[in-house]
Amino acid sequence: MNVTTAALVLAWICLVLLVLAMAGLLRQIRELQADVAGLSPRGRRPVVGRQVSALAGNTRTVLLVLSPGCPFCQVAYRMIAEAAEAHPEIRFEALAFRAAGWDTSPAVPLRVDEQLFADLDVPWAPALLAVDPSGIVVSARPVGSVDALTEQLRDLLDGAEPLPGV
Amino acid sequence: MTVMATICAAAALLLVWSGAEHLRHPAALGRVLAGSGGRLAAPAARTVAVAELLAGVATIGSLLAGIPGQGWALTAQGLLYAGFTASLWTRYRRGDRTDCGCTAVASVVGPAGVARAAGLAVASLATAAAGTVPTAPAAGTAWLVLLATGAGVMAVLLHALPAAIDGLPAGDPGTPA
Repeated sequence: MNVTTAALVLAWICLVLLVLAMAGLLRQIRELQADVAGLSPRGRRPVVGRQVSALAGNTRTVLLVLSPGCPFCQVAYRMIAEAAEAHPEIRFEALAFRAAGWDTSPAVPLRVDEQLFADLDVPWAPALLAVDPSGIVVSARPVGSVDALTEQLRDLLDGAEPLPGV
Repeated sequence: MTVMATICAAAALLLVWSGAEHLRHPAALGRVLAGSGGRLAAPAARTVAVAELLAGVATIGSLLAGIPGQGWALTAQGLLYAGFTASLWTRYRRGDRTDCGCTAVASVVGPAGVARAAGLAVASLATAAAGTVPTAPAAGTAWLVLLATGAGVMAVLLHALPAAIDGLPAGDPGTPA
């Protein structure tokens, strides 16, 4: 074997080693990406687009997310309850991870579910979510004031579908 | 024989590189040897490092400078790599995923580390068994340049390969330079 042929063979050996190293690095990057995605801090994952099967139903659901200790939550709940009484064709629900002695209304059942609250991972409270019949969150916005909630409710009620048979 | 000689020279360079690193920082290899050696870990790590340096320098000297004893040097190098292969394979089979202690670039015990050691053991022993490899003074300048550059590039690639393929040990971001 002359020097040129040997150089060519060695070059190919080095190329194969490089390809192996690159493949290994890419695999490690993919594993890291998967790990990072699973370790995202609370409230950093986008809420919209997340599927929560516990909220799936026959129609769109307007969900008010509450938190004990939040000063505006009772006001927001009362406003949602008024909207629910005025629009019986729409399904309203409230969700909290712990009961906090709110004055509840039969028009807006309060669901106390720590696991569901954690699954939704909503970074704000109160927050107003619209969930489609398959359980996918289609909109999520924080509720900061009476005016903001009124506007959000108007937007949501305009796009909501009535309950079947109502 | 040129290709085999270059691979053996790369293996020898890797041995010298690893031996120097193990002499400077014997802790990683010491931790590996501590499993069987207890308090003798540090002296054992230094002994292995010196053996690596001697075998590597002897092989490089015999290949590049035509120093006699090429067969012995290649055999010693092959046996060292065979020993590393056996140790790594045993740890890998045992499910050990700690730092292999091979070089200063931390990498877990994995298939790439085992394959590297096994491949270099086979290449060294096969070349030793095949007979004398032409050395630099007799083989010419082109051969010497090819051997030196090829071995250098291959040694660098082989040095980083286990960390790239097998990955870093958990919780160990690597040794700072």
